[in-house]
Amino acid sequence: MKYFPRRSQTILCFFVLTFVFNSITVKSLETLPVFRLLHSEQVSSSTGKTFIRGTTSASVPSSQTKAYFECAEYLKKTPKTLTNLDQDTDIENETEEEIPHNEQEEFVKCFKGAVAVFPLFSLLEFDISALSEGGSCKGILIVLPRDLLTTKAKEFVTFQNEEGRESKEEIIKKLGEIESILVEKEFRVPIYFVHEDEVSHLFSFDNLNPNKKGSYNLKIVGKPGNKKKIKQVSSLEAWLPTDLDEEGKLKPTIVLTANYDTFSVSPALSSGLESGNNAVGVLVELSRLFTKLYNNPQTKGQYNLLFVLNGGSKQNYLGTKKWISSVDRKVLESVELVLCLDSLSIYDDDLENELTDDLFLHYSTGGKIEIGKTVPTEFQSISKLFGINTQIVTKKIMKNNPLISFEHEIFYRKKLKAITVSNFKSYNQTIRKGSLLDLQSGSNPTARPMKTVTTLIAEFLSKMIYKQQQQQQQITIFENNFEPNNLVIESINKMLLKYNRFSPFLEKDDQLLLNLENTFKSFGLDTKIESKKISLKKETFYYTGTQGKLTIFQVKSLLFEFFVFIMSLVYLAVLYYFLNGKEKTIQEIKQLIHNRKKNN
Amino acid sequence: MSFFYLFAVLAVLLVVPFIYFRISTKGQSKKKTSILYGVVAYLLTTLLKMILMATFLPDSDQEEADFTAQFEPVSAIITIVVSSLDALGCFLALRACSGHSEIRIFGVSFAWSSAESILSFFFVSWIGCLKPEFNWVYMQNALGSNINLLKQIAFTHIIWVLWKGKFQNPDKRNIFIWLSAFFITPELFKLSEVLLSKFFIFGWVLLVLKFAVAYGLFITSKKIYQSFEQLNNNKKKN
Repeated sequence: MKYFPRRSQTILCFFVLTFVFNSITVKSLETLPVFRLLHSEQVSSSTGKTFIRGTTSASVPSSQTKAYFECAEYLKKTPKTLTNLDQDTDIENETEEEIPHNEQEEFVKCFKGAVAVFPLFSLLEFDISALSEGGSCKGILIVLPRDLLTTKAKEFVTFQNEEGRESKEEIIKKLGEIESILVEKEFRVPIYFVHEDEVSHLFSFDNLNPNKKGSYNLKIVGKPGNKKKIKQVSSLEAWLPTDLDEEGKLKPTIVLTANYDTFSVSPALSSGLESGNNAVGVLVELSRLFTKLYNNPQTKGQYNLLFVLNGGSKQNYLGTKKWISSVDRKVLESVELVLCLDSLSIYDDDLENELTDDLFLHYSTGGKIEIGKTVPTEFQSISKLFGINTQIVTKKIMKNNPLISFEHEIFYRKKLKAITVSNFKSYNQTIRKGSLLDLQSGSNPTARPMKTVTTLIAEFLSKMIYKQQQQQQQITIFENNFEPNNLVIESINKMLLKYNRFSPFLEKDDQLLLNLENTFKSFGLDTKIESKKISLKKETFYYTGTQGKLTIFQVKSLLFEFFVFIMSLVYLAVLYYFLNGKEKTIQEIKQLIHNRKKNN
Repeated sequence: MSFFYLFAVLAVLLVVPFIYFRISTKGQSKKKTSILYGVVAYLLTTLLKMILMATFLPDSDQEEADFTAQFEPVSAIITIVVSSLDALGCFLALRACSGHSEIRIFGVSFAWSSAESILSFFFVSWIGCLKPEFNWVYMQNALGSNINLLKQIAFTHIIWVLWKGKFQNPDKRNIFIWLSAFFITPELFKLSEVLLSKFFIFGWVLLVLKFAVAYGLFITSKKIYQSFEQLNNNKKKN
C-alpha cells in the first residue's frame, strides 16, 4: 500500500462500510391502474373529517406491509395449530375451533395507520367487515389474480376443513359472499383493486414474504367521484325479415336475445363474459349465418328473425323490460318464440355443480300461456346429436315477486312463449350474478368451443324456420360452408373484454354498441339502437371516478434519514481530519474553543 | 424524504470540495481569481461543447454503452475532439490566473468540479431529495461528484505538467502525458463506467471502483507533478 497514504486508507474503508451497511437497491416509482369499489360516497369518519369513501383525492399514508405479512403468517396456521394440543390427544376427538374473536381484533390492530394489502383468496381466512369501521386501517388494497378460476388460484387457498382442501365451488361461493359484503356493507375506508401481475415484483404472495423489505407509501390519484343516476338503458336490434304473407301481414317472428352488460363490485372491472355475455358472440354469429341463408331466395325461411342485445340485465333486466314495452305492436303480435341466450360456455372441466357440461333449458309455467313440451323436447334431442346433455328446468311464475330469475320470464309475463338456454342451473349462482371472479384475460383452453353450441342453436332454429319433419335421419344444414366460424365468436368476445360494461355507466353512443351495430350492418341487417329513459320508484345512485392511478413509493423512516444526515457529518469530519492531519486538527479545535471562551 | 436527507446530500456535494480546497491552499493568496477563472472556463467550455455536439454529431439510435453496435468513426472522432476541449479550457484557465502553481491547479480544479456538481446534481438533488420516495441515487451522485473532484485534480496536474514541460526535451514520458491528458483521463473514466455497467455493476460497487480508478489517476498525476517540480527546482538551483 505504498501509494496509499494512511489517511486515504481510512477514506477507502469508509466507502466500503457505506456499501456494506446498506446494500438495498432502490425500486423506482411504480404507477399502476387501480379500480375503486362500487358505491363510494361521502361519509364522515370517526375523527370528524369528511372524506369520500373509496377516495381518489386523498393520499393513503405510509403503509406497513410488513405488519400484514407478520399477521398473515400468524393466521396461516390452521385453527388446530392455534390451540395447544397434547400429543396424547385422540385425533378423532379433535374439534375444529374458529379463530377466537380477540385474535381477530389482534389482526385488525396490525393494520393501524396502515394500508391492508390482501390477495383476493386470503379474504377467505379473514372477515373483511372487521375493517369496515376504518378507525385504525387507512385503506384496503385487494390484489386480484388475472385468471381467477384456474388451478393457480386453487393452490393459493390454504384454508382446510376436516375433509381436506375445499372444493372450488365452495371457494367461489364464499368469495361471492365476500363480494356481497363489499357491496352491501358501508365501509369507512377506501377499497381498491389491483391486478396481481402488476404488483407481484413488489409484494410476493407465494410465500407471503415481501420481496423488498421496508415501508411503502401508497398514493392514489384520480378524479373524485360524482353521484350518477341511471338515466337510460340501450338496446340494439337487428332485423332479418322474410317476405310478407299473402295478406301483406308480417309472418311469424322468432326473437333471439342476449345481454351485453355485466356487473362487478368494481365497475371498472366489469368486463368479464361468464355471467352471460359470451352469448353475444353466439348471437352475432347466428345472425351472420341466417343472413347468408336468407339472402338466397331458395333458402329464405318462413320466419322473421329479430336479434336483440339488451343492457341493464343486472338491474333486474331493466333493458329487456323497457325494450318489450316499446317494441312495435305488430312485431310483438307476430312473435312465436323468444329464445333468450344466457351464458353458454363452461369454464373449467373439473368444476362440479357450479358449471357443468350440461346445458339447461329454462321455461316458466303457471301463466296464461303454455310453451308445451314440443319445443323443449326438440331442443333436447338436437343437443344429444352434438354430445351435449340438456336438462329442462321449469319454474312457476310468481306474479308478486318482482325478481326476474331468467330473461324469458319477462316475455312470459307478456304472454309470449319464451325459453332461456343457459349453462347455469340456478339464477343466483355467484358467477352468473356478476363477480370479480369473472375476469377472463383471454380464451380459456378448457372451455367447450362455442361453435358447438352455436351449431346446436342454429339447427334448432332451422327446424322451426324450415318446418322440417321429424325424420329418422336428421338433416343438418350448418356444416361445411355454413359451419359457424369460431373466429367470429372469439373476436366479438375479445371486443367485449376490452370494454367496461357496467350498465349505469354506458351511454347511448357508447363505442361498444356502435361496434356491435356496425357488425350487424356489415352482415346486411337492418339495425337500430334505442335508448329508453328510466325513472325508478326507488332511485339508485352510482358514483363515477371508478379508476385511479396507484403509485407505490418505497420510503424510509425519518429516523433512518436522520441517521444518514449524521453519517454524512461524520464523513465530512473524518475527511477533514485526515486531510488536515491529526495535529493541525487538534490545534484548530483548541484555538476555536479558546476563541469562544475569549468572546464569552 | 425529508430535509435531513437533502442536507446530507448537499453537504456531501458542496462541502467536501470546499474542505479539500481550503486545506490544500492554506495560507496562500490569490485563491479567488483562480476560482473565478475556473468557473468561467468551465461554463464557456461546456457551452462550446454542447454547440459543437449539437451541430456536428450525427443522430444515432445506438446507446452510448452499446459496444455491439456498429462503430461510427465520424461520431467517435467528433466525441474525442469535443472531449479534448476540456483540456483546452483547463489550460486557458491555468494560464489566465496567477499565483503559485498549487493555487492555480487546486483553484481551477476545485472551481471546475464544483461548477460541474452544481449544474449537474444540485438542482436535481434538491427536487429529488424532497420527493416521498427514498432513493440512494442522490447520495451516490454526491459521492460521485467528490470522486470527480479527484479526477479533475489529476487532470489539471497533467495539463500543468504538459504546459510547463512543453518546451522540454520530448521523450516517451511526455508522449504518455500528452495521451493521458487529452484522451485517457477523461475517456478512461467514461470507459470504466461503461465497462462496469456491461458487467451489471451499479450503485455502491460502481462508486467504490470509480474511486479506485480516480485515486489511481490522482496518485499518478501527483507523482508526475512532484517529480516535474523537483526537476524544475534542481534546474533553477543549477
